[in-house]
Amino acid sequence: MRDRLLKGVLEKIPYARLNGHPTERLAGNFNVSFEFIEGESILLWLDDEGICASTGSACTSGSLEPSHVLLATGLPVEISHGSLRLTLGDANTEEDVDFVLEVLPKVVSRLRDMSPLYQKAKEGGS
Amino acid sequence: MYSETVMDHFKNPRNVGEIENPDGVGEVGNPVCGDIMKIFLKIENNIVIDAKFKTFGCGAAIASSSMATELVRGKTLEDAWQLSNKAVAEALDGLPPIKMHCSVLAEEGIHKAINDYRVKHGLPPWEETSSHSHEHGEESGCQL
Repeated sequence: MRDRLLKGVLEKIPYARLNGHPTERLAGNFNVSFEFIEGESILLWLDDEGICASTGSACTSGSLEPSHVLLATGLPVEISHGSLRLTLGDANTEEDVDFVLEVLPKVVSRLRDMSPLYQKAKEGGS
Repeated sequence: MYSETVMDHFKNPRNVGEIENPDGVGEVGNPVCGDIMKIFLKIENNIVIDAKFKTFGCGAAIASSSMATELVRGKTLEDAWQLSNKAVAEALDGLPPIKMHCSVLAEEGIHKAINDYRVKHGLPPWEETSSHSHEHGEESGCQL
């Protein structure tokens, strides 16, 4: 189920990257970074849709520092600000995965539309 | 964590986008710090007739940009310059202390856009009188 969610996220959302190892990790968990947007604003929108996630990134619970773990993996600071951690538990269903895959791309796209960084990347032809 | 007004301006931001051929543009912040604001102003007869923004950042940064552009619309350049970060935060019914730097960024973005206009018109830029200009990095814990 986690693999389907991860695969869906990476397929549906451009400029997204998996942080950490694809298989050597906890069964229900993954951490992805979305370029050009900031993690807390992703969380606020997901929360609004009833999806609970975390950002090992800027603006978490009183700290504005990006995750030192992500930085240690060599991820650039500006990209680590846009990271999101999703964890599935045994209460989650395939429908939950479908729901996240429906909501998350819209949230990312909405935030990118207002990001000056995304605009620059598009103009740069990348 | 956020007031209803902040959430409203985050979820339904006013004035998102760009102005074609703007009279003044100000970009402040840094991607390493996690927030960048770009403010666009259309100015006629010394009055801000339109203000738009693009922002990369947290909910408070987006809400502050939205509120600041709302507040300067229709104002003279002198009045728009006087818009303080406190006024932005108060209009949002408050910001959490660690997010006050977002309102500072909004004030700085407006200032930079106004000075961009002044310099383009051969006028001397106005000087920052507030003590905010160097606080951003410290408040956000972002060391550049």
